Amino acid sequence: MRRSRPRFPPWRQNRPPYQHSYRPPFSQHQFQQNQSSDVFDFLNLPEAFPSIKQLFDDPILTAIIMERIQQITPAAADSFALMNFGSVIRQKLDILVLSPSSFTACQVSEVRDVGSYKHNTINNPPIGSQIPLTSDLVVVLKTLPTREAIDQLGNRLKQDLQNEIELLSIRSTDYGLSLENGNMAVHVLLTTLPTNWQSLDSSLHLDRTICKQNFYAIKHAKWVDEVCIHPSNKLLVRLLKDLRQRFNGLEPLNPWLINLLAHHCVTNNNNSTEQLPPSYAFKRALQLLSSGLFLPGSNGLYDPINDTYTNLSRPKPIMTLEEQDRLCYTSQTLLRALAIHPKYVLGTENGPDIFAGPCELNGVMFVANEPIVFKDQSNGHSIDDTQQQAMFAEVNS
Amino acid sequence: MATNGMNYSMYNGITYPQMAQQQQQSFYGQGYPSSFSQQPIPPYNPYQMYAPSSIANPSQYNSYDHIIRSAAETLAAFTNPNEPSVINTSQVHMPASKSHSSSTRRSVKNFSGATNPTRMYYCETCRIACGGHATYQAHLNGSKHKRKELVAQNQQTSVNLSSKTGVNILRCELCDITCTSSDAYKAHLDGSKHEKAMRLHRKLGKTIPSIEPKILNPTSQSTTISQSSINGSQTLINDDQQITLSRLLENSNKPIGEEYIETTYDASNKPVLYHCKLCECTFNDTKGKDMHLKGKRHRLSYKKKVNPNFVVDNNSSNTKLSNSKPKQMNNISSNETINNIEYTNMDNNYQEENDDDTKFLMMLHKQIVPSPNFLNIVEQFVSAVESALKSCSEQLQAFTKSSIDENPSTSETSTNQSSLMGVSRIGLLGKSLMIKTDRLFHIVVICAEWPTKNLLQTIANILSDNFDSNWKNQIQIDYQADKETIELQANTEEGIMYISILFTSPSIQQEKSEDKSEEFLSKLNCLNALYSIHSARWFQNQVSIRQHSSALIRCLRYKTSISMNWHSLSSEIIEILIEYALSQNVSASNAFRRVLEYLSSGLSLLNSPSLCIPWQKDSTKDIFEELTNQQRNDVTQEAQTGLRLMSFGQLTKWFEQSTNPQLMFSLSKRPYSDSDDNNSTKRQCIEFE
Repeated sequence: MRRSRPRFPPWRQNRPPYQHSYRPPFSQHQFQQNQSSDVFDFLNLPEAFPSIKQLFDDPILTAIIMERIQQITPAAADSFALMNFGSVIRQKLDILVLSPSSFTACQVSEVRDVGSYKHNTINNPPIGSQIPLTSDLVVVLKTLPTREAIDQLGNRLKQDLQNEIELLSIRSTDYGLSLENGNMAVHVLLTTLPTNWQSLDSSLHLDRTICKQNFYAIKHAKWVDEVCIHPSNKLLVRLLKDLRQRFNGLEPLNPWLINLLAHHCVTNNNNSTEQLPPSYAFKRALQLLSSGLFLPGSNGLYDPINDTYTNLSRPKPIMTLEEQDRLCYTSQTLLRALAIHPKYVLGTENGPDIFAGPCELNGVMFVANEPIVFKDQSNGHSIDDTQQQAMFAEVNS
Repeated sequence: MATNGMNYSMYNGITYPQMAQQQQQSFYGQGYPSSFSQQPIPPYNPYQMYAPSSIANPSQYNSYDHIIRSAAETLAAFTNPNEPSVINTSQVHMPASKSHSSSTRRSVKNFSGATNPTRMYYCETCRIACGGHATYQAHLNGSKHKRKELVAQNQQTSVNLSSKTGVNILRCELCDITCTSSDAYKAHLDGSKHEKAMRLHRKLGKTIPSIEPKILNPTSQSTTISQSSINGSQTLINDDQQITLSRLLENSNKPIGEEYIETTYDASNKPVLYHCKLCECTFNDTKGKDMHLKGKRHRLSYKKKVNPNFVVDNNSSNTKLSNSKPKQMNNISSNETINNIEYTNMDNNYQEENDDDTKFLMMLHKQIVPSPNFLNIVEQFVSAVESALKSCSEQLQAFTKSSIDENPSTSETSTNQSSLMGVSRIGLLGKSLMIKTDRLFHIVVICAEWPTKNLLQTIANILSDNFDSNWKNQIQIDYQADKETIELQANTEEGIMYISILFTSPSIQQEKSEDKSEEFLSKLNCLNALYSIHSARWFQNQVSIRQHSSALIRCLRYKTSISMNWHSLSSEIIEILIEYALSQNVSASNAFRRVLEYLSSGLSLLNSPSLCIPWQKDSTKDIFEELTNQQRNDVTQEAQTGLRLMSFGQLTKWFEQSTNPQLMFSLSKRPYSDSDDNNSTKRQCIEFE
């Protein structure tokens, strides 16, 4: 006889069956809108929208973009040093995979590179900040990731690395371990095999959500590695990450969404296989965000890993309503600023802080868009999840 | 009249009244809600068109039948049905079977080739292969074969009258099997019998008839007798009848209520369990879930618990077939049922469309649409002006005639032509897009030749005399030399109304020179007037025919009147955007959102690919050309705010917020609702004091 499965997966067991948690009024509105559609995308409607100019390549913007890319790409020496640092740690972890008997606190199943360093989309940290250049590793444990095990793993790494490189600090964090070496760092994202997820207890182990996020990071990395290969795509990822770093409002756009968005903007060119140049793709990304790509009522982007559209992903939405609004109004403001003062938006020239208040930008009275949804208004039905996600996003960037 | 090629109403002619416009005006008074209530009606119109064509079909089919039958006969003559033909790669020898020439429909094929000398005997009528000659003989003499033969003959000669009307019969050409439902047909296709026959036919190298079912019904039955050999010609006739297999097999019903399926995942995130909340049942695989979603039980409970207007058909698998044309031909009653289904479907859409945003837009439109009284007054005013202009024209004509009499040197042709050729309502009047706040309307006078300033002056002088006595006292006439227009001002019950009369001439388009001389009107003004005539005509032809278009444009126009940021957005731009949005076949609120999306994504910004003007195909003029950088920025900002408000279900605020026009720099950090609350509490305090 077939083994009877649990009626609900463990993370749903505490929830009463078939009963919806309370949803705020407009969130319900959002879910009821079954006819949610794709947002307006200029590229996808060429015949319906007889435009005059076909601005595929914008020479002015391209020049500025190239200048900015120069600025944010880390120097070869730095990235080489980071590579060395990362590969030494990787080696040590690989030893643990190969000879599990040498280390008893936990068993390592696999070690994988993820994140922006792997995809060669890493940016220089902003000048003057203390954030080091970071590469990320996901370590999948066969055992459960208890706090003690993580500490033990940290100690073991410390011992192993003692003689080889200068290691300033090693500390355990929410997501695993962080190894720092002056101006660079390696984040070790710990997770466990999916079969163990159900037995995770947040008082003893790493949080389940984080474990899942870390695990999905592997899948995401695989996808990005395979699909996002066009240089224009990588360029756009860098630009968007840079933009996110400089404008706080874009914070809800986590690295995975950035990758999805960049891929969409560069490749989804109205059924043609031609990839778009970065200047156009960059503008398109802002246009899509501005016309409400992540607002309720739109499908969002197709997520190949979850096999659904980002805005329709359930049970938990990717962003709270407040974040959706924040992301949207920030990109709307940036889009308008881009038309007036592209150098400011791309960060090659300093200008007044457009989000601080009304200001004059190249002779135009410029007012930033104002938020509509506020934190206290949006019900915190998913705030925990998204906060954690945001934390993870920072780790992963 | 014919010389200019334009169908403006002419002064000289008798055909002066603007019937079309008056009709529009009367329509217009009914406003938005009526246009919504009209919605269920349209399906009748296409249906009306559809019905005659289906009635016309029987004759077509009959004639086709005729062709087919004759084709079958000629083919039969060629293949010599009285003799079983033997096709062998090496040689033809079949002496024995000749004695059996009595059997009408049979042929024996040998497909052995050089490698396999044993022959295969195949009975065409029964579609049976016999291992040897003896068995084949036995088969031919058997009662089964005789019976089949009889049936085949019957089928050929007479239409089977016994079959019930209205029942669709699916027939598998290969196995000569008829099924009464698509389910049965499907089961047959999956069955071993069909597979066997397939294998046999493939082995024999015979053409395998397509597995697309033949749909038989009383009238078309004769077309599909039993000729598998003339498939080619059959596809010709069966264009309408043939239902593709895939469509049939997908069980015609769309899955419905997928959102009520709760999916449970196992540890590796694979779905393991589906639970239908409507029917309280569970499935282990997607297939079962999909079947359930299409099933009748689910549809019934969907109807019961979700959408009471949902139509559940009695025999869901046959609806597609019963909708197909041939059935309707003989079955008038079925027409009615389909009618009902379409009607109720329409009803469904109608209800779905009534989401909050649409409701709000409808309400807003009700408020901003001008009252019938207002429209009446405007209409009276405009027609008074028009008739005054007409009599002006007559006066002028008389004047020129008399002058011609004095100077016989002027050419004869000009005597019959007045200098004023017609008048056209443009802008809000022509497009009937007025809202309550509008007071200024435009009309254009079309002149035969390039109008001069002198002409304007004369008209301005004589115009007041040509008004009838009721209006004479109410109207002030003002000749604006700098704008090259004549402004009329009238005191009416609804306040002061303005009409601005523009002058233009179609001949200007052909003129090469920029500006002629001082005494003529400037070319730019004349071209603009022509441009608005084109715009009005484009609107009447393209936009006004679309449902909701006028209502949505009025709502957006209202926004331009109350919002500083949108002040620069002209009605033409809104019309074009709405036209594009509605051309995607979306509902009213979706079209509204689309327009906001267009503008939010920076359509009006400087660095975007802009839109060209649809009524000027050749020109490269951008519709946003006239906006300054600041205006472009403001327009975009306002639309962006609107889009977000709409997405979060607060569209009301977008129209409220700007009623007390907010200055650009009074930037409140607090939400609008807060400030509103504060205001109201303040007011309350004052009242209490």
